[in-house]
Amino acid sequence: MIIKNISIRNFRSYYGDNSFDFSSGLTLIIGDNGDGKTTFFEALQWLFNVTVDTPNIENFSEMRKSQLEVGEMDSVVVAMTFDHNGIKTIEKKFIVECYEKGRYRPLRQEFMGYEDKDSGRTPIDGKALVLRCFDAFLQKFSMFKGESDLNVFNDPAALQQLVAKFSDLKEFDKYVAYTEEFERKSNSAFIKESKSDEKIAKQVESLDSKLIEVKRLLSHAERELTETEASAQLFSGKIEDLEKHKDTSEKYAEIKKRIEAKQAEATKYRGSIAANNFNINLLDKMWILCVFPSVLKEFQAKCSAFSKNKRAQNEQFIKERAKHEGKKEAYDEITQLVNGASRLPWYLPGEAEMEEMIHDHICKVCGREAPEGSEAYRFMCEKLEEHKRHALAEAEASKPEDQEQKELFENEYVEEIHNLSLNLGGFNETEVTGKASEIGGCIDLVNMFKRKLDEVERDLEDMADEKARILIQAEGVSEEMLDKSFQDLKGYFDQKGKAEKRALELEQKIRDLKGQRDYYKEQIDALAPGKGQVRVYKKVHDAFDYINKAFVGAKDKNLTMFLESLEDRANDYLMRLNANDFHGIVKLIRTANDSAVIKLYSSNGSEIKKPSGSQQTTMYMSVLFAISDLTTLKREEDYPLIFDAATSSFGDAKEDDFYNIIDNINKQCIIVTKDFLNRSELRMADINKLTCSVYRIQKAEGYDKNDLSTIRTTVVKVK
Amino acid sequence: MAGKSVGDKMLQAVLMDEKLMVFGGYSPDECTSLVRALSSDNCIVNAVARIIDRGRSGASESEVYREVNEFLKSNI
Repeated sequence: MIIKNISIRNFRSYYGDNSFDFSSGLTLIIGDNGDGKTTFFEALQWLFNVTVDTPNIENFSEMRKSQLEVGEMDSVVVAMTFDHNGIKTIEKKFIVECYEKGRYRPLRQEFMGYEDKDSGRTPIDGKALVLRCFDAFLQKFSMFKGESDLNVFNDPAALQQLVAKFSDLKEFDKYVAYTEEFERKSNSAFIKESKSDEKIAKQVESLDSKLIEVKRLLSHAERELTETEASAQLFSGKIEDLEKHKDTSEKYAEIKKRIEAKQAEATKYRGSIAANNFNINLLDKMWILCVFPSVLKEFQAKCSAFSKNKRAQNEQFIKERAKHEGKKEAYDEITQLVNGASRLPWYLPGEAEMEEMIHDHICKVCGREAPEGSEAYRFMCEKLEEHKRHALAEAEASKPEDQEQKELFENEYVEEIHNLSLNLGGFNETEVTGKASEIGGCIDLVNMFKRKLDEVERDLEDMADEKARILIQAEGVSEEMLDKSFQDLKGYFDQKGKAEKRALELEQKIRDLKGQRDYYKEQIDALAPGKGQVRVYKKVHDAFDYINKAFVGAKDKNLTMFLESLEDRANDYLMRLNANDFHGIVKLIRTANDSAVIKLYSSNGSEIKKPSGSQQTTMYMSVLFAISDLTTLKREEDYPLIFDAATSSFGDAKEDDFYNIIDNINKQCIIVTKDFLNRSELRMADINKLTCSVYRIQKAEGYDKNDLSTIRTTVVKVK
Repeated sequence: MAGKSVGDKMLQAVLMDEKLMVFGGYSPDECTSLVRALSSDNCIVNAVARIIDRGRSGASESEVYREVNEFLKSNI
């Protein structure tokens, strides 16, 4: 079967019609994370699945869905055209209808097949065509998702199926069982017939009963040996698994221990931070007073300023009063008369009398006339002016008169405030200042805890990354298994040791019993029957015995030859896939129950117990190519190999070598990969070294990271 | 020339057993095809061919035994 074309319409991110053409060799489909690589692979799995007839709305393109109006319909279609004794097509599709705003339903699913004949294109049942051309067995050995999927032989049944399919072993099993039964029946017939032959009857009876007992014991021992070997194999496998992951397990245990310690540290810091609740402390521990010292300082400064100001004003006041009193004394001194007599008071004569005398141009004190412009007239005018000034001065002076009786500050407010300032200082201030420093200390401590917690959380993130890396390297081994890994190791060794010891004992016992069986058989064979009929029965039994052994031998040889053939082909591919690297030798080792395991050996005979990721991948791929060869030989038809992300563990150099080699292998391979991308850009120089077809799948630009209905895969043929 | 059938391959694989060859007294030339073996005068070659042929045609183990046993009793 050679795939010619695959078309995908409205299947998840593959919006609208998308088409891929394939050659008979290698085709690369290159896409980055989220570009639709796995969707391509799953579209094929959906197409080949003949067990589900119900359409799944989840497979309908979200982008197309968002465009459908009520009453509109569109289809999801995946189709493959291939050459398999003529051109054929399988097509699976279903219709989706928008029956209400935002509500959709799948209507029906169709699985069609078409066969190109001379008469034209003939429709046939798609399911039947898949079963005829690409059944589940072929799919199992043709389609691989991820590197871990490549080891199909992790499932012991897979090799059995393969061996049975290609080596006719199943039929040998049937004939071996048949001929064993023929030998038993013919022996019973001979023994029964011998009892009628007087010459040998007693000897036959005695030997036969011994033979029956030996066979019973032999059968029992063989059964026990099979179980014991299986048990030893089981423990061996478990030990191998544990040893394979020994380093990983140790690293895992170490990182787990470190994570636990860091988590405890983080818990401690979180507890310490939570224990210092600033909100509660604000009132409960009177932290609200933390600003008191600065307020008090300001208060004290203001009190001091007030006090100083008051003192200054008071001093000024006293000074002014003293000055006033001094002036008064000096005035009194100056205004004394020559003979010491007292002057008339300034208010005599009064203002009204003086104005009257000026008006009448006569001094009514001395009786002299005072005409206007005369000396006496001017004297009286000056006297009147002096009187007015004096009256005004007296009016002004009446205030100092009051001050003489009052203090400048009647109240003691400043003193009270000052006293308050003094009271708040001292012990109280010391106590509250202590609280402020306690708060500062506490905040510093909590900040320190927070810084430490940040550091611990950063460490924990790093450790979680490291742990994830370890688990990835462990290739799917669960955390639980890594956890109990070395606790179980000793127990497994003990049990394996016991099983192996018992197997050796049983092997010896079986050898002894077989010796006894052969001895009794030879004894019986050596008997010369007297009767002709008995002789015939004996010959018939001998014939069946030889025939049975020949079938057993042929079955054994057949299995060995099959494995050798597979091994030879696998090693040929392994060498080619690792042309520029160490490749080792693939060995298919037979196990109990006609199963086998794949192992890698060095040419010096040492087993490579821990092959690297790329060694494992090329080893498994080699076996897959070998199986594909056998399929081709067996069915006289070639089959494609389809890989999704099979080379994740390859480095760039290995990757280039691998593709250059696989490009030249005459086998149809479709590899969906993110290789050949450098920051989402194609490495065209490397791609151009290949002869194969290359497609680039990519999310169309302009999508919304949070909206699936904006995502669409575009398909571009690069070369 | 057409390729060998599964029956032919099985017959050949069984009849190539050296001990059976000595016991039956036949030569490897008689092991080439199932059709030829079914008409062989050698009763061991013939018996093995019958077992394979009857087994492949869907006969039960008892039926095959009865037939081959009778054949051997008459011809051995």
